[in-house]
Amino acid sequence: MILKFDFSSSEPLYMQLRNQIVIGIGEGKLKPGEKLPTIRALAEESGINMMTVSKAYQLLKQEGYITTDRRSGACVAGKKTVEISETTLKALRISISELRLSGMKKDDILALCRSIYEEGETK
Amino acid sequence: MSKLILWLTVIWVPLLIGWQQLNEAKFKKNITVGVTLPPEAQTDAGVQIILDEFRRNTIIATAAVLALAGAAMLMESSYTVTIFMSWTLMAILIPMIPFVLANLRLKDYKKEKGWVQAHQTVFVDTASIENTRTLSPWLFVPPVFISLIPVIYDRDLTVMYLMMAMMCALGWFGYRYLYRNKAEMFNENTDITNALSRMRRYNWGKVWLLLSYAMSFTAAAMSVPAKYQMIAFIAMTVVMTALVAYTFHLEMKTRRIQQKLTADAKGDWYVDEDDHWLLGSFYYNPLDENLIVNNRTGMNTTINMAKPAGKVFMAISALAIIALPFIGLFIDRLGTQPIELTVNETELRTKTGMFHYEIALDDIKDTVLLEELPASLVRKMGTGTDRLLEGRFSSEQYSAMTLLADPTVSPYIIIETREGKIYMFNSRDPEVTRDIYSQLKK
Repeated sequence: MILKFDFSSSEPLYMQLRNQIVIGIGEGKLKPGEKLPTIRALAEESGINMMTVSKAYQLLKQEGYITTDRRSGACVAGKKTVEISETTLKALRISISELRLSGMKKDDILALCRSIYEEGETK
Repeated sequence: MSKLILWLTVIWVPLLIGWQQLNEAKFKKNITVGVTLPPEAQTDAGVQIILDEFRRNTIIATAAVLALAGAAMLMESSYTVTIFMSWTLMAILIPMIPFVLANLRLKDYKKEKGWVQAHQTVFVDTASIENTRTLSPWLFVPPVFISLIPVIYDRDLTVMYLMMAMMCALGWFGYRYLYRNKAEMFNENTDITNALSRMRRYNWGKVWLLLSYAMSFTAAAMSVPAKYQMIAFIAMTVVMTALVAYTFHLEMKTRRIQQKLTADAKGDWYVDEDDHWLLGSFYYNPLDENLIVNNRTGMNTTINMAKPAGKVFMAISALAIIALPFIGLFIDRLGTQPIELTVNETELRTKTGMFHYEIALDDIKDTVLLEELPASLVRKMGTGTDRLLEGRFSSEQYSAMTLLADPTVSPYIIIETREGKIYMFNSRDPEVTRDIYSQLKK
């Protein structure tokens, strides 16, 4: 999986990493049980501070997307059973409102959601 | 003769630099003369004009450096080392000019054509991380031991052999820590990234391992008896020349493979880090936590000038390069400074510049006046210029001696102490030497 870090973005680097891994898992690019790079290796590879990578991994672990083990490092967790968080629902509401305000019809919004969802299924 | 040897050791270097510079005009990972361009730019007429001019200027610059060397060799002057060092400075700076000019022109052309990509973006391929195996540190242990063997039979230079052994061990640190373990990412093709990373790391390891073994060979060569020193010196020169030639071969081989693997690779995007490479050669990226970074092409590494340690390193390197003529001047002046010899009631003192040593008169066992230098005189540690020999030397007759002498002015005094230590010295004025000798004899 290719990770992309935009150093000029206002979005914090740990969030960029967290979001890309979540998208990667969601789209099937990262399979359950698949090993993730170690914090040190990912930091060295990207030039990002180890603390930043560690922060993203901790967040992913907290959210149940990855598991960490002293021996095998970080791995993609199995199917997530945790309920949808309030933050996710809020973000979805904001996105739908933004699309509605931009003039999109309900069917177009649902079609867009379907297409984004299916992107992950085809990969 | 020593002047000729001095020039022969370096005269071929500008040719290698010129060759390597010409290679910069070839596209490797979409990069030419330090500028990243899209694949279609490789056949662009405007790009070709800039690259042709760069090739022409590089050939002119190389010819100019060689011509300067020719002129310097023919110069009759007592400032041989100053001239040599000034030429070295020119040989470093002149080849940079065509590269910098071409880099700036091509960057402007890139902007003009709209080939500039989004800034400050870093790509990481998770499938390529930690994909290269590292050499075992045990491979570097034999040269360390080989370097220490002479300590058994040549105790006098123990410190030097210990330093050589340490340098052999440093080969592993150089291999491991002067390299950034980063995937050679060029586009989204993981197979190419992995192939490029493995090949580069493999060649990098070879260089450090060979350097380590070459150092141990040097230690062994330095420990041979004085009468075989010439053979040892020739063998050492052959080994070191072979190492330089092989390292250059590996650098060009790495570049050739980078060129081949990325020549026809097409993708949706390609890595462009031009923003962080000042003049195409100097890495400056405040957002990168690493101090050591790999050059984008070839197998060498460089430092991140945005880090405080990087700034200090660069400033010291720049000062060291600019200081070359002044170092030459200092060495030349060593040859003209007087060698002071004084004898008082208790000791003999010898001094030139900051070098000096004292011998208590009670310690002197024997004093000899030599009209000619001892046969097979070889420097082990210290200074050896046309007009000054200072430091630890060996000869056919004496395996270890401390010198402070002008080899061009006979005679020379040799002192043997009760502890068995040998000293040789003279004044630049033969009369002073004879006078000191007669005082010591009394």
